[in-house]
Amino acid sequence: MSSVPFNAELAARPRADAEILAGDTEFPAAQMWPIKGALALGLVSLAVGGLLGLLQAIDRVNINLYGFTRPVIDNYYQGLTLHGVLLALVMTFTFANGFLSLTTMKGFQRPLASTFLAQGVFWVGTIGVVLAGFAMLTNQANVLYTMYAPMSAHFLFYFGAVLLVASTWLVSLNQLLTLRAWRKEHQGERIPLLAYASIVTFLMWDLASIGIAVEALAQLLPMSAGLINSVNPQLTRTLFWFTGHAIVYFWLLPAYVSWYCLFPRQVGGKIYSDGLTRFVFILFLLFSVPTGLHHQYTDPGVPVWLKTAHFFSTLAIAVPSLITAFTMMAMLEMGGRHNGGKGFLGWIPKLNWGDPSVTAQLLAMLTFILGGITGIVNASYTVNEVVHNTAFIPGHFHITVGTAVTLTIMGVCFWLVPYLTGKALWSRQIALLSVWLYTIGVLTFSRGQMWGGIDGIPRRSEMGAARYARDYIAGMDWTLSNQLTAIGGVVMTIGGGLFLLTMIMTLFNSQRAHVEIPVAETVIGPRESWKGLDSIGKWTGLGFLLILLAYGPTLFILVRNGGSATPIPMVAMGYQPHVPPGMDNILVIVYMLVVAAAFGGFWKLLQRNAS
Amino acid sequence: MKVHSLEKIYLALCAVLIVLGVIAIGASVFSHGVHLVGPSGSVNAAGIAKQAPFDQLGLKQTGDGQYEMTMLGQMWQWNPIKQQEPLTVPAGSTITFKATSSDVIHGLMVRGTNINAMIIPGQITELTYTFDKPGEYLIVCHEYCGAFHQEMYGKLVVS
Repeated sequence: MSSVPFNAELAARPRADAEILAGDTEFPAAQMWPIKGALALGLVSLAVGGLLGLLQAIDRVNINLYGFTRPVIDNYYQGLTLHGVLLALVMTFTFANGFLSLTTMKGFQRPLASTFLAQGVFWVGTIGVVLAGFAMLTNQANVLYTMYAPMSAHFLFYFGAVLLVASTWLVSLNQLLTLRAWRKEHQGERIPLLAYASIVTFLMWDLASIGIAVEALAQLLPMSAGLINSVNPQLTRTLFWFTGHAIVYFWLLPAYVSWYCLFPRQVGGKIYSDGLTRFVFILFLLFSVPTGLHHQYTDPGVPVWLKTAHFFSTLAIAVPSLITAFTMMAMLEMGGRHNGGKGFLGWIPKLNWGDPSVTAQLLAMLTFILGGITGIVNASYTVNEVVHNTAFIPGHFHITVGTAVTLTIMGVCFWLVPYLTGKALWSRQIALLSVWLYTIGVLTFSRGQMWGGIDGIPRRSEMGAARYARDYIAGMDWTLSNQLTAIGGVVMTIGGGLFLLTMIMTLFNSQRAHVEIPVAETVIGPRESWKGLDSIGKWTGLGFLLILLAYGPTLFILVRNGGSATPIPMVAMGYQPHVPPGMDNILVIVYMLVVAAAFGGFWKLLQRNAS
Repeated sequence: MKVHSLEKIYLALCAVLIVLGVIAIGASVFSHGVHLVGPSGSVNAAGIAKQAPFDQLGLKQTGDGQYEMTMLGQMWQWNPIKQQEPLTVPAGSTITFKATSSDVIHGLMVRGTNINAMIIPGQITELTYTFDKPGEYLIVCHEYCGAFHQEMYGKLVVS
């Protein structure tokens, strides 16, 4: 473990703006570049994944642009796989890796314990994305991001995904080593809240990712390498959803870290309660995984009593988000009144709506109320029968991961990129416009999807090519809901495009700015919160025990009698094993070079200080 | 641990809300007779066409107003349903669907009904629904199963 000298002098010095070099952070450059690299990878994923989403949205009104994107993007399902993987896995994971590494350092006021690990995170994750990206771009992994066996993709797809997950484990390991080092230096002190939230987020994900790790090692990798010739589809699906529900909290919790620990400072409020903030993160650590079977209410191989048990535990996971709703409102009201807001609701217009970072995150919170409610619909034992696997589901998650998470990432980037580069945000007005447009777009999109879903539109289906969608069933008309989806998708894309434009122009901005990480203070501080919450090792152990209780019987039953080994069908279109070398592959390589150049450019510009 | 009294009240209300939600959903299980699919036996996806009940596919009348529909999810059709030849039953009929997959994971949905479940190779999915309302019903695959996933559909006419 190398020890990098912490720039204590720089951190401690009262920072008169004129005196400080813009873009000069208090942390060692050797640990900052991997963070910038992760962010660049995430933003490029957002650009590519978002554009492919547009193609899917307009397919709903029968506009098919795949003729123009061929042969790089050959068909709807290839685009859909890339869309899901790039946005749900790559953008979210790289943002969590970069952002929460930074907040860990900021919370502890010290560098990470290992520079080797910090840089390893970047390389392992990037290589993973390149390998999986190659498989997807060459049409050899049209299996969507859920990758249900026995449909099979190229080996490199699974291998790349495993590397991407491994990069998150390296972040977690480095955080824990840093915690250990910090504890030696600060015996008897409470773990700083910002670092605490960042670490517990990754511990939750460590537990959650056990499922997909076992699935990959025991089934998917051997299957795609040709080492086994049959799999257990019900078992692999269950292992996927072991991770698959908790993964949404791995998308969400980095946003919560911002909402709880940083955002109050941006609106002039304070963190309402140190203890309850820690408690919320511990609840996620405990209950994120033992709820996964609510994604499998309609699976034939899972006993009904287990589904019922998971229904109850699923409701427990609503508690931390309900607490969050209260805390956020309290914090916002405090901020609004601090800014001079009077009366019952007079504090709302006094919030700093002119700051794009604030507005983005306020919109994230508002739309997440709808996301949470529709989530409870999905989790409901009975109502799920109406919406399961319909367009309602993408309607739901575009107002959770597509807003709460994505808008928070946008909002954070509005201060994070200036912080990292020392360059002022390019245009406040366009930044504001981008988040409003994006929000209006995503709400319209989700309205169309959810309405259509309740009326029976299946999810993950190429509507433009679906002959049953038009003039097949008497009295069935999906036109209007599909139009809303398409219009929403277009507006979203314009909003997202303006956001990316703001980011690019900021990187080229000659105007300097000195931005600090906004760390908020607490009203009810750590002295008044329960010390036991800091024993994160014990809480993780308890979380593991709950998982054993919730998943032990399920997996035992599936392994024992679900042993219905299913041969891997050769016709699985997720994988065309013998793509001849030719024009297609050359174009794919050219395309990947272009994306790599965009990524490299982003990264380079993020490195360059304004000085 | 110090918690503000307003927040304690709020947390209590949340607890009440969740309990009420559980009661409402529990009540709907009984009032609407909702039965989630559960294990109904397993089969071997290899050579499925020779194993009962999938050796005889199709709609069979098993009693007065009682039908059984045995079907196979395949890339890319609901064997033996043909897109332009709807299944027909009289209104008030109860149909038990028995389905499995011979290749990858599919999903069976009959639009406007509670028939909505995964079709997983090796597992038998069994669902029952009484079609009281006359009309046309879309039978569709709702889990991505490959390039021509959107070709997996059929029609049920309740007259």
